[in-house]
Amino acid sequence: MQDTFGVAPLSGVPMQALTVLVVDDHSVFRSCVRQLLERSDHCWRVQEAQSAEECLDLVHRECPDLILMDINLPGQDGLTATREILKHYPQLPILILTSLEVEEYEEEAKALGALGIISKCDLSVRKLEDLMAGVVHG
Amino acid sequence: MAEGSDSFTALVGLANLEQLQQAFEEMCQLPVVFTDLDHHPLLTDTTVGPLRFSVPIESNGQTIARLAFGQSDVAPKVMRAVAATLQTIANLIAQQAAIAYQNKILSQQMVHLSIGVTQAHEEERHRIARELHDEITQGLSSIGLGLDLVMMDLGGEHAVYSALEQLQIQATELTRQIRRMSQDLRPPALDNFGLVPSLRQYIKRFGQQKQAPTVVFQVEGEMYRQPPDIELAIFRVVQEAMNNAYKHARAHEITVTLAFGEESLDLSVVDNGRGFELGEDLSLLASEGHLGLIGMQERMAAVGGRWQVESNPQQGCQILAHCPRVLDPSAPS
Repeated sequence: MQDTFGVAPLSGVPMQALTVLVVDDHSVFRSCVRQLLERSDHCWRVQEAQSAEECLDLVHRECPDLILMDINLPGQDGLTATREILKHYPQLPILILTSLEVEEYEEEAKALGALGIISKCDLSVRKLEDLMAGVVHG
Repeated sequence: MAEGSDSFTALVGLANLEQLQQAFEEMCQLPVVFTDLDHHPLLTDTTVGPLRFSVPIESNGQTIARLAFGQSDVAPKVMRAVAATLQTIANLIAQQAAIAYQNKILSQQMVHLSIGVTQAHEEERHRIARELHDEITQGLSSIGLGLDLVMMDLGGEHAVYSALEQLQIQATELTRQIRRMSQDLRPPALDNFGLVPSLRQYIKRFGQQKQAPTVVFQVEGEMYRQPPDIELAIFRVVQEAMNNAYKHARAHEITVTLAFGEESLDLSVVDNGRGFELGEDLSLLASEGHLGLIGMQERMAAVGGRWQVESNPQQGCQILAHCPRVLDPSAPS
């Protein structure tokens, strides 16, 4: 299941420059997403964070173009981190990826200003590529 | 007053002490009072006059109070003749008082133990739910994505492509099943969003069961968060009450009302099921097989709340839970 909330996607940004930050405490999942993105036609530069704290640090230092954020993280959760990031970088697209029930978190994610929320259960290479392409091309 | 005597008075109760004193006086034909270790009466408005003798009331080898006997009008010669018998009776009475006290302590310990078991049970459920989510479902999602990558490399024409596709479908279904199990053990939304969204979600899933009753969920007042143990206790009471209404009472309709008051959080779960005969003594519920009801009562007591049940055969059931509002939800309740 997926949902995007009509937040303005990235447009007019040169493809080569795009950096995506994958925030997830599960290393195998991060690695799969990295392989997928690095092999995609859009040549994403992938950075990884395993906690909200690491993510915030990277956001300030590296200014990623897109964040894929898990909800359940050790320490601060992904929704709180999203709120904090969007306070400082309101234009930064954040896609919430979760293995929790998407319906339960849809409203909250939308209210926070996230780009969308996607269930990890339904995640496929094509779906993720489409979403990322949507972010790039609008 | 000594600490042991305080505990003795508190556990046995002032009214019971008074009744016991009167019964012993009638039995022995002597003024009788319960005293602390220094012979000060435990009931303030009683006196024994000049003391004849006293016997200790002991618990676990320690004297916790005394039973004091005063003088009587009976001739000293007669008193001397019955002194040994009187002493024996006094000791027996003291032993009975000690047993009553120990029973009270044991009963209190049982309640604490039961609360402890429930808390340990909840912690274990929480741990398993977290592990199912954090390890198993995350791992399965990674397997699904990994299979997708392999399939992408092989291409749709490859001999094993459809087998991998089936594996991926199975991995996705397994992820969904484990997610549901994790939800049942401990809904993650309860910690993240609180009672109302979690109950909405629970009621929605409850309604998907075969021949499930219609559930009306009402929220009164402005929603606020409470400490996790209070929210969990209320959530579990709703779960138990709804399951009872569905599985045992065969109700067609359940109304759940959550009222966020300024002073308290109140819950009511009303069903139109078969109902049941409710004895006068709720402490007998366990022996009558209503363990779920006892569980609800204990859960509410453990968080400083109250719980009540009203039911009659063929007249449905009403469960009420009340919890004083905690103004700082991050503080332990």
